[in-house]
Amino acid sequence: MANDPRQPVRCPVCLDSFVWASDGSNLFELDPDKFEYRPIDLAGLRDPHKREVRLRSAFLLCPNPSNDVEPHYLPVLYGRYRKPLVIGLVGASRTGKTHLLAAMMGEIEAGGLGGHGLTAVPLDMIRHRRFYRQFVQPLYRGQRLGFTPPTDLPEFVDALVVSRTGETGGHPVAFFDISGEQLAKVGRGERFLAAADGLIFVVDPEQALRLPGLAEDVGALGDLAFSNVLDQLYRQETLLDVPAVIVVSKSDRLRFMRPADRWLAAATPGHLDAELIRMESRDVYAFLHQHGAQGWLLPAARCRRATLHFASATGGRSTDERFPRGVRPQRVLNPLIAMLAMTGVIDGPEAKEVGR
Amino acid sequence: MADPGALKIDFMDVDGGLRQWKVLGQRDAAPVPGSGMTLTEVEAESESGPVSLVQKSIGREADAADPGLYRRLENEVRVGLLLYRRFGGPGYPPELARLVGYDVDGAEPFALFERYRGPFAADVAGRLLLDEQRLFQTSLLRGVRILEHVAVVHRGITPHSVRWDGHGAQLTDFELASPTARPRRAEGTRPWASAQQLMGVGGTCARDDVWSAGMVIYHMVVGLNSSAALERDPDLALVEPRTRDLLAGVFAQKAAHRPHPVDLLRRLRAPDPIPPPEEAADRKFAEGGHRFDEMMRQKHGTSYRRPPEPADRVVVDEDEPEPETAASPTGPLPHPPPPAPRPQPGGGAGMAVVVVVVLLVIALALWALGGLFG
Repeated sequence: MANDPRQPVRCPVCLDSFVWASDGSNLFELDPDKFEYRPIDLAGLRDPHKREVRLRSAFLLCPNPSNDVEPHYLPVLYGRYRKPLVIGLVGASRTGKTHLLAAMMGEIEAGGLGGHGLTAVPLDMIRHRRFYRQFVQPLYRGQRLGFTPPTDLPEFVDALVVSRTGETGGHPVAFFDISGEQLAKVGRGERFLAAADGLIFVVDPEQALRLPGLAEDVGALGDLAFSNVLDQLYRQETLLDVPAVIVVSKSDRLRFMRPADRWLAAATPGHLDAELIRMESRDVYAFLHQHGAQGWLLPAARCRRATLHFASATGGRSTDERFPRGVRPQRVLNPLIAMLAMTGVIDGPEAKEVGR
Repeated sequence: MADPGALKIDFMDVDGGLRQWKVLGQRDAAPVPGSGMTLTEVEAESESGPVSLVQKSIGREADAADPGLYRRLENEVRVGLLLYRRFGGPGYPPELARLVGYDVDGAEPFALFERYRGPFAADVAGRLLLDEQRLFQTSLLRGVRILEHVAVVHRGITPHSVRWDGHGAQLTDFELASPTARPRRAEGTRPWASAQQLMGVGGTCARDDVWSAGMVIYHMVVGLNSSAALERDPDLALVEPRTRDLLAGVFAQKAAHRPHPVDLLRRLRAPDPIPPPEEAADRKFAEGGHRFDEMMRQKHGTSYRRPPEPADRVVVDEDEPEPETAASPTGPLPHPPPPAPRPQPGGGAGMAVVVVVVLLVIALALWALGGLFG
């Protein structure tokens, strides 16, 4: 990506582009005890080999030319990584985006990508640790996560470096929360729209499906956050080349309904299966159509490559802000796997068939 | 869950709506031996008036001790909803327990049923009069047949999952139930479960339930005197002739050799229950699938291939291997199992026509000869 030092690189956290360079003054290392970044002091280190080893594990303070994101750090090796991917999780507030992402991170932490020959490590250790402590750990302890207020700016959530197991130089994959009904076309919003590589649209069955106990009186328009981000991305092409994944979150609410019951009970193969993803996509599409959620299908029609999935971050409903039976994520990595295939992180002939 | 303090019960009804009913009274009911679940009889005030319910729940300790309990309760809810969707309203068969609602997400998950029809069949084993036995047998086998109509195998029929109210039997406890023609999971206990089910070989079928219902019918006649009696193979010489005729072939080693539930109802001269209407494919769902295909063709042209419909692995009876190690309580059979009908091209009727024609020819010849010489 950034082998040519004159080429600007894009920071996956603030989405600013800048020329990757360091005069040594903005280098940091992670203090494992205090868990904070501290400036590197190489004054006493004369041995060039040791110096090189230390520098390889160093971090660069992102210059964030727009100066609109709190200080964040990128590994010095960032310049050797492949193209960073910027993924937006799109959906109104309370659709379960944070629960879904926390469950994804939890399952990745548990080695859930291993079956696909992938490993993932945090890009910014401290931010990842913060997300982990704030969301992943409480969720896995059975706690319902707090409400994230909607904003018109994309909010960076976390970033991982996803690599083929045993290989160096993976893809940084950054996740952004897009919840506002009016994505601002300035600053970070504008930068996100320019950089977005993939969109995960989250459909909350409690808000979208015309069913007793869910939403008997739903509007036909779908989620305004969906149409908003799709409209903003419109570049006069017939179809958008940004891959889309539609996830019916909270699918545990549908566990006794066809065809969600079948998919939730089905084992996930340890390899990529484009035909199986197509089968699930067709079922999810038909299910949303059946229950009056046509408005939520917009991304499938507008994006050239799209997949649809049933998933549950928690495996059940909460009572009094807790999940009394604990948390049992179901199929939460399938949408991510499909996205990684459609964005080229997972490659090969099978990956090329995903979403088509 | 039922909250004794507030005396309210919150649950999801069979249509998916959230309900909160006032609890008017409740008392512990006798648990199903070995089940691990708790049964409570509940009187509640519904929107349409007082109702009598049974709450089947998993206590925290039992849940911690046996994580499989939750899966079984979930399965029972799944089957209860399937039965509701197929039979619905007033046509719901009294031979099957009827689900009212559930809460499978709470700390103590539960399923709510309309009050079961009576005590365990086990409580009256060996004490039914002949007429009552016939009523019991007919209603139990109707229950098995009705489940077969909707492609469900109960897999857990025992004297404790069958209730008896003096007029009819009712099948309860669908925890182990499975769709037909699925790989058998090894579940159940001797003598109630067939050898194939105990070993988990072959595919599920109504004849699994025929074995179990037959075993319950047998023990309802001879009683459940001792565990030693349960260990022995059924001795049909101990039962009266009508029940002996009914149970002929029921304990055949291979499921395919056992009579079908319809055969058993015929032996009892009981009518076959009317099947529910065929489950029509949902028009809107099918339409949604076609729209997906259309959208994909518009986007990707002829390179899009419609994917196959998801399908479960089907294992039919004939696939089952012969059980080798399990006990085979076949017992003396006064009648051999009915042979499978064999199609005979041009069979008996054709032969009779030939004989008649030959006789006619001979008669005509004799008549003609009589005319010539007479």
